[in-house]
Parts: sequence; C-alpha cells; structure tokens
Amino acid sequence: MDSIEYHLRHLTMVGLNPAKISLTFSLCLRFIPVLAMTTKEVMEAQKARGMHKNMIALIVPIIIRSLKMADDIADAIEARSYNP
Amino acid sequence: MTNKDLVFIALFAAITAALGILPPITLPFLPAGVPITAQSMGPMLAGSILGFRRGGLSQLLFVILVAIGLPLLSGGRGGMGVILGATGGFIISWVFAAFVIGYGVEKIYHVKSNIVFALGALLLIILGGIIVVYLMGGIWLAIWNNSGIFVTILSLSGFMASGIIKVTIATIIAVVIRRSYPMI
Repeated sequence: MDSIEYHLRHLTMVGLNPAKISLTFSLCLRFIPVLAMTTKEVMEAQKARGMHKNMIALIVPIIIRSLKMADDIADAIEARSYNP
Repeated sequence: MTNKDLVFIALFAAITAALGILPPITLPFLPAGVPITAQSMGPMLAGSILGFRRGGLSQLLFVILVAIGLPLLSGGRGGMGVILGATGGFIISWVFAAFVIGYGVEKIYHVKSNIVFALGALLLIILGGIIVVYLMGGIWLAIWNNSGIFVTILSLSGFMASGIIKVTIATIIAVVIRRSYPMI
C-alpha cells in the first residue's frame, strides 16, 4: 500500500489523492478472496436447503452480503479516523 | 469521494474480477477469438447498482488492475498485451459502459414503480452494456484485423444470445438490489 502510494505521489499535481487510490487498490485485491469465500458459503447454504444451481439466486445474496460488508468496512475505516 | 465510496468502488472491481472465475467460451465461428465471458456483466452491475461516478471508477480500477498485469480476466488472462490486443477494445469499453449505465440509472433511481425502473434499467443496460461495448469493441477489432467496420460489427451479432441472457440477469439483479438495499 505504501509503495503504491509512493509511486503515485506525483498525481497530487493533477488533483488526485494517492493515498485514496492506493487504499482502493489494496481493498480490491483483498475483496477477491473474501468474495470467493462468500460464494462458497451461499452455495452451501442453498445446497442445505435443497436448491439447485441458479445464477440469479446465487448472485443476489452474494452482492447484498458484500454490500453490507462494505458498509461495515467503511465504518471501521471511519472509526479509526483514517482520513487520507 | 468519501471512504464509503472508495470501499464500494473496490468491491465492484472485485466482483467484476470474481465473475472471471467462470471460464470463457470461445466459439469457432465467432470472429478473432473473442470469447463469451460472464465478466461483461461487471459493468452492467456496477453501473446499475453504484451509479455514474462510483460505477465508472470501479470499472476503471478493474481495467488498471488488468493492465498492470494481474490475471483477472476470465481464463486467467491479463496484462498490457491483452488490453492492447485484438479484444482490448471490449475491455476498455466497459469503463464507458459503466459510466453510461450509471448516468442513466441515477436519473431514474427514485421513481416509485418497480416496473418503470425495471424497463428503464433494461433499456439502459442494453444501451451501455451491449451497444457501447460492441460498438467500441467492434471498431477496435476491425482496425486490428484490417477488415471493414460494418462487417465486423455485423459478425458480432453471434453474441446476441449470450447478450440477452446477461442483460436479463443484470436487470433482475439491479431491480432486486434497489428494492432490498437502496444505494444512491
């Protein structure tokens, strides 16, 4: 994260905040395995209820769960008064 | 951009990447190895759920991550070679698709009727996710192949069936998410 920030430091000249960009990059990379885990959980829950594979019934709970998670993460960032 | 916006941008770039787990389907009669992937649903979802700025920026983030070499495209592809290659126009067009869809969806987000919103979202997703993507991708592909632009875009009509499926899924998801988790 620090290295991304360091290499993007000249972007401040065009009005971009390198700290915010590097935070977004790192969050995105972190979310990929989290999403894989959420997918697995939702699939198991649906299998336990005897549901067959259904793209929409799978994606909607994954997105809602991850939106809730994203809300919590945003709150956690605020709570630590991280304000780049 | 608040911290919340940044988290949502990162989340939808990650969702676009996660859609790449489904393997690409390359059909022999379609032009120049353009595969059918679930990933083109990424800009449709990002635009219709997050709106103009956040949706577009999330796709921009995804394209940058691919460009710096992460194997996030379906089939484990990635890197500058894919972005500048024959099918790169499609990938770059996702950014514009998400901006177009997001701009329109923000305009109709607060209508009360779900059916009106569903129809509007359907039209916007067709406009952004199909017309913008295939127009930009087709022109890029035609230049790359030295073939006629009109002929190339016509040959892309082989993707019509998969496009209809993707648009339908994305619209249903957008409507359900708006009802259960209003964002904008």
